[in-house]
Amino acid sequence: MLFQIFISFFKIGLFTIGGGYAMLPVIQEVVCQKKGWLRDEEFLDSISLTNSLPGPLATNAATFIGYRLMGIKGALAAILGTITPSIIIILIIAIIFNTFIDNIYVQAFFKGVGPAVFALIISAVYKLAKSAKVHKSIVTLLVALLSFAAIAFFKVNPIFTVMAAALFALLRFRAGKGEAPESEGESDD
Amino acid sequence: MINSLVLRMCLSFIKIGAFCFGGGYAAIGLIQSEVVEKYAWLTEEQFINIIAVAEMTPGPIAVNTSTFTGYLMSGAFAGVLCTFCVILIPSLLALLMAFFFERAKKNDLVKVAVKGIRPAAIGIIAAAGIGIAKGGFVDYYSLLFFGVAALIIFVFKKSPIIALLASGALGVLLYGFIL
Repeated sequence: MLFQIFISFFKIGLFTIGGGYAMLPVIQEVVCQKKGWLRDEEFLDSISLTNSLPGPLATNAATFIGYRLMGIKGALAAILGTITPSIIIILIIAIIFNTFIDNIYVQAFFKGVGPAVFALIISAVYKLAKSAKVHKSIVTLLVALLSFAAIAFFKVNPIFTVMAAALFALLRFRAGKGEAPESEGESDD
Repeated sequence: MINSLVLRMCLSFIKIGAFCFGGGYAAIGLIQSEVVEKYAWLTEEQFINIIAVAEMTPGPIAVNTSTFTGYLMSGAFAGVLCTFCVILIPSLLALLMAFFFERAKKNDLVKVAVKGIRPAAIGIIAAAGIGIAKGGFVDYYSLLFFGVAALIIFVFKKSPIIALLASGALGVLLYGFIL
């Protein structure tokens, strides 16, 4: 079983290109449909929970699912399965990259790729802004702009903007001004 | 194998993992701030290449970026170490969450805080974009590559990988054969 968990997550890690969000449907297919380890609702619950954690979505989901299957050992097997293909592939590429980086065609390729990476960043910002609905709330928009300005112009460590934003949201929630979480649960106090 | 550079790197990546809310690109923002700007372990150009490779290869972007960054800084062992460091705190938290599953499901304060962090994460990624633009735009032709990539992503709605491959191929054509 432990080996099964490792192999399943290894395959997921090996065959999904495009980051954590691309991995979720694949994880669901393997864990819920193929293996029948979790029910769909359990999977969705685990995703919505691990979504609130920092770090890579895929390894967080793997940890959570692995734990539910076989405790700490299961979690370790799932984590190792998820990251092993990445580590192997990236190390191979990195070694090749270091060998060929002086080649003029490789340099030409990466000179073309640089501006495209900037386009990817814009696309990531746009997508996140849309899903966080920054256009609907002036406060959300302000937090995003302040975080951007603080880091870009005043060289504030991004970690502080994360902490400040969390604190601000909690204070607003306590003051009864912030939005209640989507699940419509009751507040703690 | 473990010297003070590797130790400091580990601490940096543990910090990066603990505070990267909002997916792989938030991790890119934090790695940029820590590895490129604060410690200057990598140049902006190296870092842009890393992001491009991380996006084009399988696996989580934060994991790929950490492995690659660690490797370029101090070899394969450091690459593996940085990867484990970046997922250390998130995995421990995911374990705690699985352990306290029923209670975690009901905790609103966590959801409020996470929702509040989301716009800050957008700011972090946007701020990383400035450094990436500075390193990525090397001449007037860069505008062309940017235009092609933007067209592929925003107009044709194709995957980022296609945008990277297309602008890279165009780069080979232009800098390798025409100029």
